[in-house]
Amino acid sequence: MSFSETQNRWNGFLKKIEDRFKEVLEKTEAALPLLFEATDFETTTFNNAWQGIYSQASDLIYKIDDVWYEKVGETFEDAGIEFNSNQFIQERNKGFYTKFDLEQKLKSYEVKIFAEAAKMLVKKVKDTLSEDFCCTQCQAKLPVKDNFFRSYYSTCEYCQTVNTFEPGTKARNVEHFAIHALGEEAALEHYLQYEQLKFQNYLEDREVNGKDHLTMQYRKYVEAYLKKRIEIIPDYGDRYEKDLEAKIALVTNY
Amino acid sequence: MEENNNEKPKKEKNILDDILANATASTKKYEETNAGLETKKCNGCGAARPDDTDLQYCDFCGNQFY
Repeated sequence: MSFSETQNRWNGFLKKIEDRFKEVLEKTEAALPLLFEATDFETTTFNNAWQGIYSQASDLIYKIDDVWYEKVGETFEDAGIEFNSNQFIQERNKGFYTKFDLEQKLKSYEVKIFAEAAKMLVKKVKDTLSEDFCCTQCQAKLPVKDNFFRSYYSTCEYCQTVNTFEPGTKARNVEHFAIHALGEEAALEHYLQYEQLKFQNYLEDREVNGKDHLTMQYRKYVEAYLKKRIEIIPDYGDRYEKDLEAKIALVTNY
Repeated sequence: MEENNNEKPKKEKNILDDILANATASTKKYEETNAGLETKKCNGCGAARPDDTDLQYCDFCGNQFY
């Protein structure tokens, strides 16, 4: 096979992967919110469905490396392109670029799909928490917090009875599911930029962007993530510094 | 040729449908708790626990709550 034939097939293969990836994720973007609504905002089913789709999309991405290392690189060499020559590296990098681009898109889709579901859940919970809740003893109306999603004591100001307010499973899922998704959405731009810097290092096989630069970018991501969480649950403000330090340590210590 | 055109979309539809159907069918469903209020009441005298009182014993009859 000649160089141009090999190149055409390689370009065609990459295009097919991109098209298939786009098709799967676009359908998912439309279908998952419907599933979430149909299961009455059940987060485990939603997570499991996403895991299945994520796995399909990841398999498509990994195919790029597999096909290059198993077939394409060798076919280029057979076509007279010297291993590690500029032309060889240029063709190999096409695969790297496509793979990285799809990884970034997969992350973006993931964040967007989860954030949409999170917004639906938060709206549903806020509607529920804005209903009237009455003291179990005297039926007087009790104030209910709309930004605290665990159970707490609420004393009736008329009869002094201590009531325990249980916000319910959906409200608890705001803390377990929604705030992470919304934090990720708020910080996505910084995360993608962080991955971009790491990719530059990988592509050039040297530290184009040093550790300090990477940490600084990662810090922007964590700050945006944590600030969004505090916006939804103000109580998290008390442990902001501690959370920030712990999350940054994940990348600086390992 | 027409048959092939008809088969392709059906097959593609099934990939996503299968994942969603599998997730729906295989996920264990737990009973959900609804939002609401409850009050711990004494088993002895039926009094509700007033504010600023001992969580362990009833403030009215001294019966043990837990």
